[in-house]
Amino acid sequence: MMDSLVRLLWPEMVLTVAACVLFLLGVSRRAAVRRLTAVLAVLTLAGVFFGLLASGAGGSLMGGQVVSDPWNSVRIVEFGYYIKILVAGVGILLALLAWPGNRQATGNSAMDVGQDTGEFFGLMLLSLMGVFLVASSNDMILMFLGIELASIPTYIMVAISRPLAVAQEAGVKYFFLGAMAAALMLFGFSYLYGTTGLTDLHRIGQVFAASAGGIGQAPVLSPWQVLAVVMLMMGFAFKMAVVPLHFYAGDVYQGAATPVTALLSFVPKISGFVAMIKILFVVGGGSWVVPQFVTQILIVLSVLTMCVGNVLGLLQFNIKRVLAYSSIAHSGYMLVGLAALTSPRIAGSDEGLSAVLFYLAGYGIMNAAAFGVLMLLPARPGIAGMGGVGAGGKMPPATSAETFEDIAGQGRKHVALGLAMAVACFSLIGLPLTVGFFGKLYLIRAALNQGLIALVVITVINAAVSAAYYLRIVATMFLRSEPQTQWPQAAQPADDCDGRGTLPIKLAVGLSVFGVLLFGLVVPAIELLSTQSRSAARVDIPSSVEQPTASAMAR
Amino acid sequence: MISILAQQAAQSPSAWLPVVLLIIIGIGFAAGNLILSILVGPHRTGSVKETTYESGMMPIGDARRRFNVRFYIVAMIFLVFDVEIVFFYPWATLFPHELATHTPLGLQLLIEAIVFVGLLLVAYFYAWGKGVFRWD
Repeated sequence: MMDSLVRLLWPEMVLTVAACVLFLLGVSRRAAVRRLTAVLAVLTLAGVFFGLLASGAGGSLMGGQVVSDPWNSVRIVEFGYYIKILVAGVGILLALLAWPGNRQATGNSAMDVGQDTGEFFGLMLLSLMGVFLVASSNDMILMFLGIELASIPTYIMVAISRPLAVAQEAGVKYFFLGAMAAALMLFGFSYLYGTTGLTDLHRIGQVFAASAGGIGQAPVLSPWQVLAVVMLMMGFAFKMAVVPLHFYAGDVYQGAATPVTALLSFVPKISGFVAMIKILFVVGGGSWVVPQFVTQILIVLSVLTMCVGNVLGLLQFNIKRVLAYSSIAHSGYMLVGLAALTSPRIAGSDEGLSAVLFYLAGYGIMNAAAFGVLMLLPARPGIAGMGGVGAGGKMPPATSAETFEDIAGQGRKHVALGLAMAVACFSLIGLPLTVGFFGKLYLIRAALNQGLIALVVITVINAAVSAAYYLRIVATMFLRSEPQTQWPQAAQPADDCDGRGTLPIKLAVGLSVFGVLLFGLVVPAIELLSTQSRSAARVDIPSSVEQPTASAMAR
Repeated sequence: MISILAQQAAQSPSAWLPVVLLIIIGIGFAAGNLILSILVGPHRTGSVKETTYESGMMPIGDARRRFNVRFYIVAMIFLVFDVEIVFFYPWATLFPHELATHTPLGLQLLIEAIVFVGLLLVAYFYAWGKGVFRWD
């Protein structure tokens, strides 16, 4: 038993042990040891990433088999495998972005090699491990724990990431709103449990399947179960930053340090999507034929999210806020895929899901590139940003670019960074030759095949609207000249772009730009990623296919 | 118990009767005592009676005093051990039984406890290293 658990959950175990080691190393008084924690975090993630890749079998990740433990609380299928590889891969980029740099002057104890470096990377590993648990869980309790494990470390990371009052405010705000979302989610889970008496998601799916009129028909939910599903969807909506629960995103993303913002726009989002996909599969009774109201909610949410995210994105002065609203809008695009997945026209087609899985990978990579470029550009003190503002005016200035003033003209000064930002922005818009184009293409194709014409039209219009603010970033970098301001003598920033210790950040930007172009230009690479996401789209073996006798005998 | 209730509730809502009764008794007890004390109790008012009740003593000063921030840290460290105790009570009642019946579950329970204590030790050493126990 123990043996099978180790075989199933080795990535989670490796990450937990590494996180514990990082916590212990983090209390060391020697800066060299604390510097080592970043190296260890990246090495651990790389080990998990390549270990997972190596243990997959050839073309398809697991050959369609299901591995579960004797209690069936963990079920690993290709879907979970794909998510784990994706999260570990993007996790490497995020850890490189958060590399403790040369910005000693800022007094930032997490991002410099200060007192909190070890904790910072330990928390990062725990947060990524939370997503792993969500991906493997087949039990609602384990799933809830996984979602919270992905979120709770991020509350701390937001608060410790900068010695600024805004960061602490963002951390507290995020914590309380996150607690409210967790309560919603738990309420939903409790009704699901109360109406079925089960915590095993697979068996709950079988109960739902039994309530359907016949094969290929949607399960009939009782009013309490409808309430449960709606509450669960709202709880996940918070994690995904989907519109009725998106309000925290702007403030929190702006308050956190840039590498933490990059993490926030990926890790909680993917945990929400994975949980949502699993619950949709359960509600469909082990298929994608869900009750009508679920599809309708998904369509409404996706339209609202896209429109609100993109319109608010147009109005921002702070680039991190722009990227926050862009992150909301991208959740909306991915919800289009989920709406296509569950819409009844071609029942059982999982094209929408593979599109969402492809998009998650693409978004993780291009998002890391955009934030990485921001990190490498210095902030200007005293202009609209948070430079010098804080408790008693004694706070250090923001260390990396935040506002449009900060990046004005920087594309001409640092051409490589400008081009990297251009590639990231073009990919976020969805222009051809980038991974973002194929992401949108697959989503729109899935929606078109399901006959959701109006939804497709709204998606395309939104992509056009979003081009306005992404192109504004690129235009500001290349077309505007650097504003001539008097630097205060003390606040003259070291040119972060050329400083020592930024090599890992440059590496992360380089890798993610490479990824954006690789999955957008090279046909075999696109094919590989889309094949993988297509084979990962089988969330579980449908309950009608599996022989119930075998599992009954095992029990 | 709740799972049994939930399974029965699928057939008959009357299985929830004990829960409803408990709620009614709970509310009834609180409300009944208040009503009784209003109806039966003597009514004498005065300036002393209107002060906040502080365990029968005359209140001195303000209740909002400043605590040293160390107390919060100590309270958080206490949680580490508190959680440990909460887990160990059920573990300790199960473990001897599993050992006596020689099921393979015994070894597994032992490993689980060791892993759990190991994780708590990490938290403890972390707090130690952070200087939580330095009281000056």
